[in-house]
Amino acid sequence: MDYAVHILTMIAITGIAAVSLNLLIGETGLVSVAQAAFAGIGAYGMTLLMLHAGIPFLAAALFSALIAGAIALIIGAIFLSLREVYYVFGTVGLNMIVWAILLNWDSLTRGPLGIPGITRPEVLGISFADNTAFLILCAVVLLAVFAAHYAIMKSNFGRVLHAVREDEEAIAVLGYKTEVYKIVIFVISAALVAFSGSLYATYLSYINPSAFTVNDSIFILAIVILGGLGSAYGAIVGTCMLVGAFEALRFIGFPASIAGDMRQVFYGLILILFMLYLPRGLFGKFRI
Amino acid sequence: MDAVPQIVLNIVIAGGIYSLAALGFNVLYSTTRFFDLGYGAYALVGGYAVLCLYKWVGINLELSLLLGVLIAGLTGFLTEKIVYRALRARRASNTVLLIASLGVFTLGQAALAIFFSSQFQSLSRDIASQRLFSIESGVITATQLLILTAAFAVMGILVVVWRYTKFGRAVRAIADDEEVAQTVGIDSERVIGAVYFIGAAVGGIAGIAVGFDMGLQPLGMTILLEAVIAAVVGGIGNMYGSVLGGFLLALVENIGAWQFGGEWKFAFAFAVLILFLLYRPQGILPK
Amino acid sequence: MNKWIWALIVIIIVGLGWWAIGFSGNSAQSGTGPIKIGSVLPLTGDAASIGTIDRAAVEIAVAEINAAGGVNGRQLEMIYEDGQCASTAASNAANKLMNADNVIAIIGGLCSTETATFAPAAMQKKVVVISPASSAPNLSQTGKYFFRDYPSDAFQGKFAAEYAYNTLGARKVAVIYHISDWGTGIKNVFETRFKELGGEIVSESGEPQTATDYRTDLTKAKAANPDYIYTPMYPQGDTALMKQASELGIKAKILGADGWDDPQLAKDAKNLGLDILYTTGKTGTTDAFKQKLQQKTKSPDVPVGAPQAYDAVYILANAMKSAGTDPDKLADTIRATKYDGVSGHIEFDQNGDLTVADYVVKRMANGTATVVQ
Repeated sequence: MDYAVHILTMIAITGIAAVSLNLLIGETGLVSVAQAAFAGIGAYGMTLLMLHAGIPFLAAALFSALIAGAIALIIGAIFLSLREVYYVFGTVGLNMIVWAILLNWDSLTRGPLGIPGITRPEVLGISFADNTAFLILCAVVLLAVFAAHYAIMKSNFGRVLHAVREDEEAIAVLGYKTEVYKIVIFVISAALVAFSGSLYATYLSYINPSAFTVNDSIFILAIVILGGLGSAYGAIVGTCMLVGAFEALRFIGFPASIAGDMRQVFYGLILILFMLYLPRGLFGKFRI
Repeated sequence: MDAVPQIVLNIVIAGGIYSLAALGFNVLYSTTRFFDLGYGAYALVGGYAVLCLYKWVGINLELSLLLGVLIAGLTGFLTEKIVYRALRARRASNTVLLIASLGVFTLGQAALAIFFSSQFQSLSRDIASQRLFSIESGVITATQLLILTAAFAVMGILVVVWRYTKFGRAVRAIADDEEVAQTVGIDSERVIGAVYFIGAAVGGIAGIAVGFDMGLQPLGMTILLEAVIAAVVGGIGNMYGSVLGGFLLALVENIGAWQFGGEWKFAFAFAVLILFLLYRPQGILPK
Repeated sequence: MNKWIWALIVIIIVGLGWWAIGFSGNSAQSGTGPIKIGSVLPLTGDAASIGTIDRAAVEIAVAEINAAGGVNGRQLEMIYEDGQCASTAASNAANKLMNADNVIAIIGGLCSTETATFAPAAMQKKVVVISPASSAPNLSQTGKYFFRDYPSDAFQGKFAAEYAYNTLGARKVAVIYHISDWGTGIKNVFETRFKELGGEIVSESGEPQTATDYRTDLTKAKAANPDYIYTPMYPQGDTALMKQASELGIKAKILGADGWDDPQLAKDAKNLGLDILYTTGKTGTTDAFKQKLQQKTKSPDVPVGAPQAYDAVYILANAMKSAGTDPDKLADTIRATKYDGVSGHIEFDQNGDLTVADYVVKRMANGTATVVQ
């Protein structure tokens, strides 16, 4: 049971990141491979605020999400001119640079030694030190993010995003400032995934740059592709499958020495096969 | 400033490898105009094929090298036929191709790790059997010199083939417009297949070079990213650009390492990439 | 509509699967039958070249113990999971071992990243953890059930600094290190202590563990004219570094850390004609163990963590013979252990750290390394 609780918690946290990425890729067509970087900014921001400034979890997490959003604002503006594949490369570069900073700015982040001792949150008097309680917290946040996604997409704002997806030039001609929309959704997405980073940090009680690499961003990308573009539900299902099924692989009997590589084989296959035969993913409304 | 000649040589040495890597990547780009990240896998295949043949099966060195390069080329050729051709046939966007190629890279690397284990393996037998050449107060080994020569030789051959042969003209025609090229009677599938073979083979050379100079691990991300950055910065689509980009990247990385320490090397490389993507995405040299 | 139903079905099946695993796991660890122990090591990823060999060391120990009758007649069942030297992977791996397999103890992780991630949860669950190689200083505060038979960086870095300053008379040192919990950790402690003593760090350059090009780091170090170059690095990097140092004609002498304690490196050093000193634990690995390991892995490497992992299994098994599988009794018994293993003499203090973190300095000469001090 404990194991199930753990896996579900990881699914919830990763699910938040996946839903936030869907806002970018699925709804707006911005293929970003930098979610892990913003998760890292959220995680480290929250941790430093909590440990050095004594700020309680919720405030620290919200504040670090704001910081991530601010950084996304600047980056989003800088990356406006990048299109398609170049945008992808730009985000890869962003992730690499953020990761390098987390790794090498010793004095702030302790580099590869990471930051231990992150306590579980106490929100509104309730302590979440118990794993099951924490899972419920994560599930609640996931639900909130899901609701936010739904709200955004049902609104006018969401409709413009879809239009940007389909034909950016057309909608720009109609007078919509597409740059603003793209930056705003980038900021929102970054803030959401940053919050998931804070949850991650407080769950494991220890953070380390190894959790925020380009490979982690690619993993979330694979989830969104699997789940389907344009569907938050798909993102969550995709998360369940990739995280849950991969864990299940442990029990199938692959020797542990290649299990890690077998997972990579599967997930490489997913990327290839889905692009070839199921570009819409499982529940997607759009294809890349 | 006694160290300057050595730094220059360091840059030249690294530049040689990056240039080779970028050249192969650039070749792959030349007809289909998309970034094939599977290149990282082809390069690894080259290195590991030589490991297998030379160290395990015991074939002599020259033949192993040749076979290794050919096997790498074959991998690229097959990938194009099996994965990319279908995608291109339905006019998939470059991003889709990129993601599929990412899948190829992930799959290829993991398969090699399973087969050859994640352990670090060295291609060269002897550690100190190198002839050293002194230039001013700097030093370069025979292997490194060989790699450099190979880089320029490959560049030269590619430039000649691309510019002066019928094949090269076919490549450029397809790059401009595949349908039109087909109407003129060019068998685009065969040409593209050949291009993938060549590009992957050059990648194999790069992978083998790295294997000899430094050692083999099933971790191709580094060499792949170096190839991408060098090719893009130097001018994608231009052979000279790949070499220029390779040396430029080596320059930036080493100066960065010199000033700030080796740990920032990668960050600098990517900062340069982003700068170019923003201000000059076509790279330094035009197509 | 079909798809939604399908997805729901898949999720329900997977969920039931988890439930089932959860229940089946709980039934293990009765009085008879094999004793389940877990291992978290990096079997894939950047540190895999070390992790896979450390795993072999564990395998040898388990096989030997089982062949000799196991623990009180019960065989040891070692379950291996891949920590990948990364937080998320290590957490999932350890969770599976602790909660699905219900292991009594975990031998691991290798990287401090892995250990720091799952050790807190292990302490809560009362699972004994013995790490064969995690050296981050703050792990000393982990908890009652945590032990490591590899010393904290705090000791080695300090020893190296004092040796360099006092014995070698070095006043200017250039540092080239591997960016990892181990390398960065030692580097930090070394630099702090060396500067405290009055020395100067004239250049510092870090590279990732998998880097193979140290030429610019070396050139930078050479230009700063140091008395010594301090290199807390792992074996593969050491090989490349030595090669490149000799190519570059580096005259300054090298002082390494225990990552240099590898027989292949000593041989390579001889071919290159370099003068290399390094710090390592007082009683180095026995030759008999080295041979056993090399035979099993078909590789000449004897990396950090291998002898320690071997000893860790024995310490655990021996403790279980008298204390059984009760975590508190087990922890107390391990803490009271005095064991002479292949990695040296092992005793634990109240934090689970080694009490005897004695270091010696060895010099690589003529193909082998001999103690200098």
